[in-house]
Amino acid sequence: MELTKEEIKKIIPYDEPFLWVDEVESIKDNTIVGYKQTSSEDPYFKGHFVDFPIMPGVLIVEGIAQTGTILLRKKMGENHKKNLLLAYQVRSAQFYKPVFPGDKIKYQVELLGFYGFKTANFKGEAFVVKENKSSSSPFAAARVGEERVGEEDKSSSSPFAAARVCEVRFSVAVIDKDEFKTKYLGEKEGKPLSQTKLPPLKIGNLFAKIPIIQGGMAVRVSLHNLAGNVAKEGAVGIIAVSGMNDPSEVKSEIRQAREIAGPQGVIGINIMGVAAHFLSLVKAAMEEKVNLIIQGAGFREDIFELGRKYSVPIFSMASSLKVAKKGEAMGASAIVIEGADAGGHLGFPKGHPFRKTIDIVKEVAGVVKIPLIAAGGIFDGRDIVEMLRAGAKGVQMATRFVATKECDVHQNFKEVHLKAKKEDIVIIHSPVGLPGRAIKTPLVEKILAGKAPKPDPKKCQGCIGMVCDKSYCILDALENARKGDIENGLVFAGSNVWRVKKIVSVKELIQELVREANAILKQEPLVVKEIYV
Amino acid sequence: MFNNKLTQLLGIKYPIIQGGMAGVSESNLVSAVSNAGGLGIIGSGFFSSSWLEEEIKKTRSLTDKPFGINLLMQNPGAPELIKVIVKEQVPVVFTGGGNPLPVFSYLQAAGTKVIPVVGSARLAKKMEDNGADAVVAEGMESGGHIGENTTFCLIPQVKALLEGIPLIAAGGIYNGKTAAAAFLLGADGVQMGTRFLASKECQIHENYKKAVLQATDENITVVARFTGHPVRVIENELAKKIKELEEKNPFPEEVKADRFAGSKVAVGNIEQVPLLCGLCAGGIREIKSCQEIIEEIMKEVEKLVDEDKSSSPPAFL
Repeated sequence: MELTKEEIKKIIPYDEPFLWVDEVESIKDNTIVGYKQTSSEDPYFKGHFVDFPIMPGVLIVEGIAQTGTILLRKKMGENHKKNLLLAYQVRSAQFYKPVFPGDKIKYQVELLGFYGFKTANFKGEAFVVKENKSSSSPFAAARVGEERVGEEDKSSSSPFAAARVCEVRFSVAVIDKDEFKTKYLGEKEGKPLSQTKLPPLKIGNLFAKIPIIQGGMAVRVSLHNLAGNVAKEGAVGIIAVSGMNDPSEVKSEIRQAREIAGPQGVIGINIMGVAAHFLSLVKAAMEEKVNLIIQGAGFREDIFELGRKYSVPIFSMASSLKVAKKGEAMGASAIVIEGADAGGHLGFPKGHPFRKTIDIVKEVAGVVKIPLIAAGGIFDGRDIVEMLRAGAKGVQMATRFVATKECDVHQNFKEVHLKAKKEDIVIIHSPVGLPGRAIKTPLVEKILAGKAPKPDPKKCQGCIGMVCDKSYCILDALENARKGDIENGLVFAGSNVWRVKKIVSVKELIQELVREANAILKQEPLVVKEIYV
Repeated sequence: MFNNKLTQLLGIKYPIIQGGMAGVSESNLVSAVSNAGGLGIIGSGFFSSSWLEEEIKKTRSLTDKPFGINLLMQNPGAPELIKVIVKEQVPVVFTGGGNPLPVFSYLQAAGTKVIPVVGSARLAKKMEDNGADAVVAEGMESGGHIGENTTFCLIPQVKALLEGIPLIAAGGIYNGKTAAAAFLLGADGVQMGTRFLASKECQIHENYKKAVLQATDENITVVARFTGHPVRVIENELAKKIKELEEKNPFPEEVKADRFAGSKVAVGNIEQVPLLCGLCAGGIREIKSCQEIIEEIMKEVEKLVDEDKSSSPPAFL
């Protein structure tokens, strides 16, 4: 054997499940001979065709082409890795006979010409060299008596022609990788490109390796430990400051988060527009050079001027096109589109029907030019990819981060998340004037029944000021929960919280999400204007 | 009557040229044609300069009449062949298969006349403008490498463009009537290849000659268009193989140009060699000597052209 599979992988940039050559038997002058052993377990047999598994012809062509590029890269010498070898032309392809599960394919590929280091012309053939005798395909009986190929004569008059599977003529373009980048990549060209890995989040000067923003969870659910660890892993960590009074607490949380995240970490805060001490908390965060501020629940126009002054990008939360447009017009750097599957306060006041995140993202993506972050109900890598396809640049996820070792909330709170069943997830009315999604607790049952204790005016901190309808004290309810008093606590959660089964580390969670998303993108790349490698 | 500008230019008795056929027209055939009063041409194809030198010497030993060389410009050895031509002071060179303009002055300075073979009126005019001594305008009826126009349409168009050099018609001419037609269309001479394939003096294998005699207009075909150099041949196993290949849209480099540039003189198994042949083979039924071929044609041409001259114009004119 001239080359093993591992050696092949070192020469051509292919890998499972898209490597179609197992071994190379010989390389002579301008001819290369290789093999591929198929198996009935190979995934393409399952759907091609249903009840009649044969190998797709295009995959045989791909195998021939990959074999040809091994030869070409060998000929190109040391510097071949600087080049991409791309399909340029399939001049013709003939298929003579099917490849059944278990068949061993032999490729014989001839390099006809290599011109100016730019294009190479190939002729390739595939043969079935060892058929799977136990094959249960409908053709199995019919194939008895057909000539079998053993020895390797390929002249068309030879008896082995019967086992020839495919003949293909094709050209490969040799393109310098750097040249390719300047020529085809970049938004200038505007050509659609395929992104096969989760792209980073790039918004202005803000850069996060992973396009996931950990959603801010008040009160004091997402603090420095969660945000810091999320940022450390390359995603965006958000400290929820709603419910805080003291600007120094904001500063201290940001500082501690930074210590965990390191200099590259992206740390932000989330604050409700209706929060008391809004401006002093925002200013404190900006003075602490927070990387971004996500602002929702009460649109505040005054934050944008501050953002410009301190050079801190403002992300506006929106659950409608109208608010998204307003955010863009005011100077937001991005819009976080939150749909109805989110946890906690939902941006759908009375009279506004609940809408799915993806529907709003699709609607807004066509109109608003600034980047969109999708939020609400996003659970796994598939959801992330779905949102990117819909037009979002990244996602915001909160519920998944509650069930992490690093989340700053009491263990009891996390337990409520873990134990939540589908039917435990309810929509309650919040004194803020918005609906909110929560998990049933004794207090939540009372709220639903309208029997929650009224707030004590003597203890009221005026946390949300005038908007509070005083139906119960939401600050107390949230604070109780995060401290572990579930009996008297309000545990917010997204609609998918029932799917959370165990507590993992932030690192594990992010790795899992990236792995899931990449697996999907590898199979079905994202069409983008710029490729990130 | 056939003492015209072409016979004067070449110093020959009859305005009949034997088309250069690589691997076929060698000293025996060439000298026979020249001895019969026409002009024999050695087809040099992809041969070497030493081969050519040898053939020139052999031809000279067989005839003292003028003869020519057909030079294939595709032949990578063409410069060496030209050196031989100049050294041997060959009277005339017919060129084909590539641009001959660069070699015009070199050959003409040595006293060799240059007659390019072209397939279009535009190229014929271009050759005249660049000093060609005459041109052969060849229609796609011919054997071997072919162009796109037909003799019937090409000759009058070339005639209309040329200002004075002799015009030789080629492609589909094989007897008195077709030759007379060419003269009527405006030619000063005719060039024939296929007719001389089926001559006694031609050295190809008997089987090849038989194939020419048996050929009809339906089993003569064109192969290798994909190479950019289409070739007219008699259908055989090799032609079928190439046609099968053509259905697969092959790369030009899958067929080597020299494989089809000429026929093999002495091969008896005619299935695996290219049998270059013109469409007129369908009308050729007998092997004749070059002498017979040329004299029969000239006799008939004289008769037909005389009839034409003596006939009165149709009543409606």
